[in-house]
Amino acid sequence: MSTAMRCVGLGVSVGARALLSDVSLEVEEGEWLGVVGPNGAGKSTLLRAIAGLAPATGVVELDARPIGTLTRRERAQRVALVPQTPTVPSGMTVLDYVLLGRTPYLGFFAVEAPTDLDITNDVLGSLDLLELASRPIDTLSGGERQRVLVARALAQQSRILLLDEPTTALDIGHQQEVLELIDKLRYERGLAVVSTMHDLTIAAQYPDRLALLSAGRVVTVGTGDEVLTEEHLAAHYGATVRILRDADGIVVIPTRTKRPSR
Amino acid sequence: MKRGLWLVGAVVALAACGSSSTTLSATTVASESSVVTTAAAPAFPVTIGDVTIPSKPARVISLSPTATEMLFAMGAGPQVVAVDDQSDYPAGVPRTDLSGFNPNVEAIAAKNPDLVVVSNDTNNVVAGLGALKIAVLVEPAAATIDDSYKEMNELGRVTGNAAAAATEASMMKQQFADLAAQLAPHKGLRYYHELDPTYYTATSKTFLGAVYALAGLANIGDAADSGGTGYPQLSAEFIVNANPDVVFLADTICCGQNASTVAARDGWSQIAAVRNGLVIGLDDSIASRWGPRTPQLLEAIIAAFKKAGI
Amino acid sequence: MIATLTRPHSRLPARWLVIGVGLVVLASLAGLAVGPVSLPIGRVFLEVIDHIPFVRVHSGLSPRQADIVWQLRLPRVVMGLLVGAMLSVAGGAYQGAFRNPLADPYLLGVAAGAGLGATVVIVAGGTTRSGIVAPLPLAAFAGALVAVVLTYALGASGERRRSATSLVLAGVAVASFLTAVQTWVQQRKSDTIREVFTWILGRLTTASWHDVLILLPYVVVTSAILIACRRVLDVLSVGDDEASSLGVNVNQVRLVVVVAASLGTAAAVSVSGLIAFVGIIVPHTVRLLAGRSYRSILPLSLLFGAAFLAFTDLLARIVISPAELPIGVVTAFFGAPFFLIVLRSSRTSP
Repeated sequence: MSTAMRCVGLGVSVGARALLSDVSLEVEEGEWLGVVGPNGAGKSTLLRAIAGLAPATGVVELDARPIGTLTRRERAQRVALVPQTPTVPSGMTVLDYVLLGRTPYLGFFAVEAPTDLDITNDVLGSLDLLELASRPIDTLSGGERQRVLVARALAQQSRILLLDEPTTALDIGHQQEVLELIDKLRYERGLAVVSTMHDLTIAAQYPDRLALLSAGRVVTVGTGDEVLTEEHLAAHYGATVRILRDADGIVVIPTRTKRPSR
Repeated sequence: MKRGLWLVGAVVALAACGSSSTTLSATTVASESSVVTTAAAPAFPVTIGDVTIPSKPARVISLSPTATEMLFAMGAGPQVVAVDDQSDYPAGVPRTDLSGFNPNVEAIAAKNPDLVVVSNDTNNVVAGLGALKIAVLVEPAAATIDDSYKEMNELGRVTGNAAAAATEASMMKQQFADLAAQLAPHKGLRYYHELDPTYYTATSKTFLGAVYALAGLANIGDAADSGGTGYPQLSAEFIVNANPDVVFLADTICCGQNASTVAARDGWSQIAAVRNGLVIGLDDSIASRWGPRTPQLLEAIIAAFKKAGI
Repeated sequence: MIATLTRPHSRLPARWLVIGVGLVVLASLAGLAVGPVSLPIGRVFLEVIDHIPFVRVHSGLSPRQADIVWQLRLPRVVMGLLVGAMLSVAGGAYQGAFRNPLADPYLLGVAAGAGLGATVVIVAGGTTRSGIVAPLPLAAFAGALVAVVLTYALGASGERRRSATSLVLAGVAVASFLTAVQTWVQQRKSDTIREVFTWILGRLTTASWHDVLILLPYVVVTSAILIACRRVLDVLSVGDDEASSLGVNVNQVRLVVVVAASLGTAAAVSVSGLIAFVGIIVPHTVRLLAGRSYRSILPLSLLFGAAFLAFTDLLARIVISPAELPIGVVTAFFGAPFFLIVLRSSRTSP
């Protein structure tokens, strides 16, 4: 398994404020890395830096190529980002939206070729979206919409898939559906997946490894067991929790130690 | 060949007219230093600037009220088939809805003219008529009194009425001289000429200013024209401070100004002109043109002075 | 379902293309047929055909009438088509590049700059000269470009480098400043105020073949470039960030659009004055009729815009004939009710 994404000493600052400092991570092909951490830890910033959207110091390598040596299009062919709040143009159909994923392969004045259409069909098929192809996206349900967002990212045919809070605003059933889908696809296509999640229980279930980010730094990287400990969560989330372990995985239970007196 | 025929025809027509004005002008003109024509010399073709008129035009269109007055004064009336919507003198001119401000080339061409007179080249009217091979003469607003005579003479040459035009011009000159002499006792009076109620004025460097200067009047606006445009905008303060002896209003018709509205303006009641009843309304149409009626401005001034008892 | 999707993708519905071409032809014929001189329309048509190379047809019009058709009416109609097409495509492209439904071809100060250039020349008395280097169109053209360069210089100097918003704001600032200067210049000479206003309201009255030939290459080249950007403009609709992540150099796209649209618009206004509303009305109408993709909007704006301006010029000539309404007045007259209609009919935001 080769390294799909590697960052060393990654730093992002805005003015004098450092959003990320000295972040070093590695993700292999077919591996799923989950990034957890409190609000403001810099999780979204991390994904944007890996996607080349935020000016960063340090090294980011995509498929062993430093990101600085790639043109925009080459970069977009290697890494796809599904943002937390995507802009969905009203009235755009599912097909058109997913077809946008082929943009990195088209020149400035070029139009889509039949192969682009084939690839899009393919992606729609594997995400079970063929029937919805002509529907405007704003008429879809939350779960369907999320699948469409992922579909566009897959149409980019990149080896690295970045998902920023892919399950926000989805009910528990759709959460599972989307995450199972991503899991299946990453095995089928050998994708390297990096996702941020705020739900810690789910975060422990799907990714192979977790990275705990706090105040812009990587605190620890390891399996769910190793990272999600009561000490870590108390120290970095400021939360009191109890960790339950069973056959299926870990459950993080928030506890109340003190109740206010009436 | 064709041109020669026209030439012969024109000369024959001239001779055949045998009008007394032609023979009269032949004698009076001899003493003038302006254009000299004799009935025998060929009047056409005439070239003025870039424009060449091959023969005496029979379908003249005038889009300049001043040119209209001049043409009719020199007896070219029968040759004029249409004038613009602003031409209102003399009575009975063939007024149409053609505009001199916003000329429409096609509408002009529709009347089949062989000569068009305009006072400026807006809307590319010269080029447009040129594309249709219609002769256009541009006679811009006069900047000096001599410009007015020059225009009269050019119109005369171009319509085959050179002698009559020269006569008109010299008559104008004579009238100016006579009227100016009558105003001589009032030499040195200071005046303010109002173009519109926002205090735009014409300095002595303009045509009107030159007419006033003939009468020996002094323009208060001269001091304010630092830009040299000839049409500076004054302020109420400046005018009140300058205390003109006479105020001439060229905005009586367009903007409803008269002696009482002026007297009602704040701070104006103390001005010498207002106190002495010397706020004189001029005929807008004469004051905005530079044609043969211009001496009437001086007549109006003389009458107003008499009425005010000075 | 699968069979439909594997067909090559075309977003420009053929029927709208046909309608657009039809409207252009109709507008041209109407423009040729109507004027203060009444000419039989059949003969007018024959006269035009006669001018096609290698075709000899006797139209039965007198030489002067033929000249009226060929020297006066036809260049004016063609000019209307060119200017209308240019303003509409430029407006549509700006709307896409800036993701702003109110963007028009004058967005980045083009109007104010051209107005200032034209006013300076008119006040200085330079309008009586025409020819290869006529000062008025040249000054308007130069003014427009200077304004855009200024806007770019200002808009790119902030921290949010060359974002859509900062460019628009810089454009507003530049336009306000240049308009103030223009107003001051125009007030210097009261007798040219009328001429300045006439220019600012726009007119096609002075159209000649010379002007048409000067404008033609600008319109052809810049419209071609803008229409070629249609796919990329569709990508921009997901926002700068996402478009960037899809490999699009957003600033470069915007720059290409601004340069092409500004050049074309500057050329158009330099001969026709500032005709307002066309660049907004036409692309929005096309959007309502034929969908939101710029693959439809740009080519159709070209055609519909050409027809629209030719028709409004016709109206400007007819309504108070033989005097003419400034064409900007007619387009504005259409503008107000148009926006109301758009407001009422759009249930989703544009």
